[in-house]
Amino acid sequence: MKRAVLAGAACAALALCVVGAGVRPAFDARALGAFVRGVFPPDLSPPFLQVVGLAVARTLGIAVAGTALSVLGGLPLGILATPSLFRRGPLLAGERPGPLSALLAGTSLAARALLRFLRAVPDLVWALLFVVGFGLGPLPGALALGVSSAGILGRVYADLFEGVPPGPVVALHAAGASRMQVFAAAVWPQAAPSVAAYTLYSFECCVRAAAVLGFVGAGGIGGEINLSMRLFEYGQVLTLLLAFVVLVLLTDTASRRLRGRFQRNAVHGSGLLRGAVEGGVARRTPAVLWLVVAALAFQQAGFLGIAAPGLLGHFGRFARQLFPPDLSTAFLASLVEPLWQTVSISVVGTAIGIGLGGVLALPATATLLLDPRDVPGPVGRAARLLAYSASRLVLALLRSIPELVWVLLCILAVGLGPFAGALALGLHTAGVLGKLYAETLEEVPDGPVEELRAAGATRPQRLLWAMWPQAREMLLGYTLLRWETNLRVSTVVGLVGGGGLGLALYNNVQLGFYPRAATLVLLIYLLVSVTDWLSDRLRKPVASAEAPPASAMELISAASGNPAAP
Amino acid sequence: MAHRLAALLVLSLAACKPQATATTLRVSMIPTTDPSKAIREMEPLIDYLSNKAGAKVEMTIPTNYAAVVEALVNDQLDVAFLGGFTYVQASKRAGVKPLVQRDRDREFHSKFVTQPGSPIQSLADLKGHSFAFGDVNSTSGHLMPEYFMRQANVDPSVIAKAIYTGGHDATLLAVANGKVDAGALDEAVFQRLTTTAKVDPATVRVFWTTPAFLDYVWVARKGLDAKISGAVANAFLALDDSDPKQKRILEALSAKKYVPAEDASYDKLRQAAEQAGLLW
Repeated sequence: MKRAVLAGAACAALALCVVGAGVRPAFDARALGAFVRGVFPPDLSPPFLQVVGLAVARTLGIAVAGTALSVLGGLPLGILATPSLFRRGPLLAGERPGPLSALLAGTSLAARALLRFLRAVPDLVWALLFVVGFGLGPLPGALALGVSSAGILGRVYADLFEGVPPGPVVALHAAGASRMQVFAAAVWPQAAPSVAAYTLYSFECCVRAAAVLGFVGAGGIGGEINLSMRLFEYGQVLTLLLAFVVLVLLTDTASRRLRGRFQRNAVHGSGLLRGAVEGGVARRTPAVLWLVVAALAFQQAGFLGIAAPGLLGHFGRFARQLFPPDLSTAFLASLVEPLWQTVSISVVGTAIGIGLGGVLALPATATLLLDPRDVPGPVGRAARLLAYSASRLVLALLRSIPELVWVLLCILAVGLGPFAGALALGLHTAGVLGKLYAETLEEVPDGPVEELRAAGATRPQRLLWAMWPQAREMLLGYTLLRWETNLRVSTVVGLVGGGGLGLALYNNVQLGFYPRAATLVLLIYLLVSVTDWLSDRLRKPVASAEAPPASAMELISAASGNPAAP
Repeated sequence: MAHRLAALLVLSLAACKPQATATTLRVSMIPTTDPSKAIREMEPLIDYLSNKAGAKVEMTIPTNYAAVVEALVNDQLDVAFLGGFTYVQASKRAGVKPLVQRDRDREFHSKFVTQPGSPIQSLADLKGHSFAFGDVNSTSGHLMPEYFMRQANVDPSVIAKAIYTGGHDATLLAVANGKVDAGALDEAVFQRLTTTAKVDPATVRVFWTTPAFLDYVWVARKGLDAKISGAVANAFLALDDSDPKQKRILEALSAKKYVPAEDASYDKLRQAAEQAGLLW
């Protein structure tokens, strides 16, 4: 009875969301056909390739500078936010509570709250505000990335510091070391390899994010894609997309290799610096070269502009105009519809992702398709291999194009508005979830599967009765995490024409109604926080079995939309 | 394409030298007005202005109206090309001075478009149909069309439910593809997109053209040396289409000739913006 009521409520909510996201069968094959025809051949003329090259360099520059800033901001905040250093645990056991320790505990809580705020507001929103506040060019993009990934990194760092094996910490403390001595001698050395690995991973995410910041005027590949779309130069769009995919693949590969070494070092307990110095890449590449790369990156990111006299004053003047946020009832009432649209976009987008991802995940599961004992003859084997590779390829393609680029493409197919946003979210989500689903199914313990096989069960029976029950909770956990991410993204799809709160934010910023923009930023923060909390509650039974670093990994991959966490 | 490249280079240089020296003039054009021309054929204008104003011109092509207004408030730009409504905002917030405008900007129009087979023949027929404006901040893509729609007592729910496409090009495309029943856009962009067949002229029909209103204008920031702003204004006023080089510049700017601009002529637009609750 209770289940029926719950199911009914869920169906009603989904129906509301389908209406809110403006789902309709409208699909314009003609417009899409024109786009597809326009896309080929990609524009490979030398002058345009030069534009692409500069855009790639600038995107990379924004990502490097943004990552550097996020470490600068995230590390101190992360240390402050570590509970065992300032708020509870054996380190504080011997201390008498005094005003100083109360102040430290309060600062620590404030740091946590600040980190939460920084990461709950999407990077594109930061970029929009910074573009207006700091002026034109790529500098606002780097700052926006720095601020939003500082929020993520700070939290991950705090989790890593909190999760180090307590033995050395307690021993040092017992020997009378101060908190900072304990941190420097016991916490940091143990956590450093993981810190380095997550920072590199965060860099990968920054590259993806930097590519779309241009949509709100922060330069780089996104700006060029936007411009080429507006000029109806679809061949250029394809070239830019290809360049983006290559850039992402290269950074992912390079960063994964580096990360692998940090993690190997982590096993032996060697420190960050030793790891880097011993590393092959670092040894082969002179330090000067790295410095040059960093300097170029900061130059590309327009960072020298930060030294401009009065820049902070300008931003301060802009920031003051945001206050007090407009909380008039008339304005708040006007936000109900965009809010509903945003939630709907995230729900419908996730639903599309579950459906499409689920369908693609089955042929992408090696244990289902490629088990040599199942396959009837060489032709069947070839066919299955083909189906497997094709579905993996489609999933990779869906996933490699960022949601906001999908929005631009979906607008061509279904027109402007929330449905384009939902569809775009759905396509990207399908790529992410499909891969996660397939990998989860591949990794279920094979005992029960083999038992069923021995009893003569067919493949669908084994899937339904052995693999599904074992994978169900993991699949549910991944899906909820993805919904959390999608909600964050659904607040910004409106910035490029996908409807919802993003559109309201964009319009109010453009009109100079800054107090209203501030209200919208607060609303987005609240919405994201509530969703995180809700999704956490729903996932509790799943997550409880996992170790603490897994939650850090989830956090970072959920926030970045990239499931391939270290 | 080289110009887009040049714009990027200039942008990164601008980042190095954000403060205007005596020999640098920081200029910006909003691309949403007419993107391809602004971006592809800008080099001759940059050369011409540098020459006439005796200063190195740094051109930026922002994609964000609000960023331009803020840049003018903060003295990060010297000269900018603004839409009429953006000008009204910037004059209120940043005290910018109008310099020159094209003769056509004094008598600008918006085109209301729909599909050839649609039943919409007049503003009154819009009732019950979906409608698209361009960028919320655009004079010819939002402010004036909305003003005239209100004047004509178009059903308010058409305006309330209207979508914002973000640009004139996107509005025309949405109408041509039947994504919305009707929309309003800048006449110059309409002309360019249909004559260059970026949008098939057979897929759209103009059903109403607004009365004339004032639109685009070149402005100088408050406090810019009058000698420099005067030189810029004179440079535009002196453009002559009998000179083949200058003709290219005029064509790139979709202009025949330039005339001096005054603030007072924007009073009606200001009033329209206040009425629509778009000015604060």
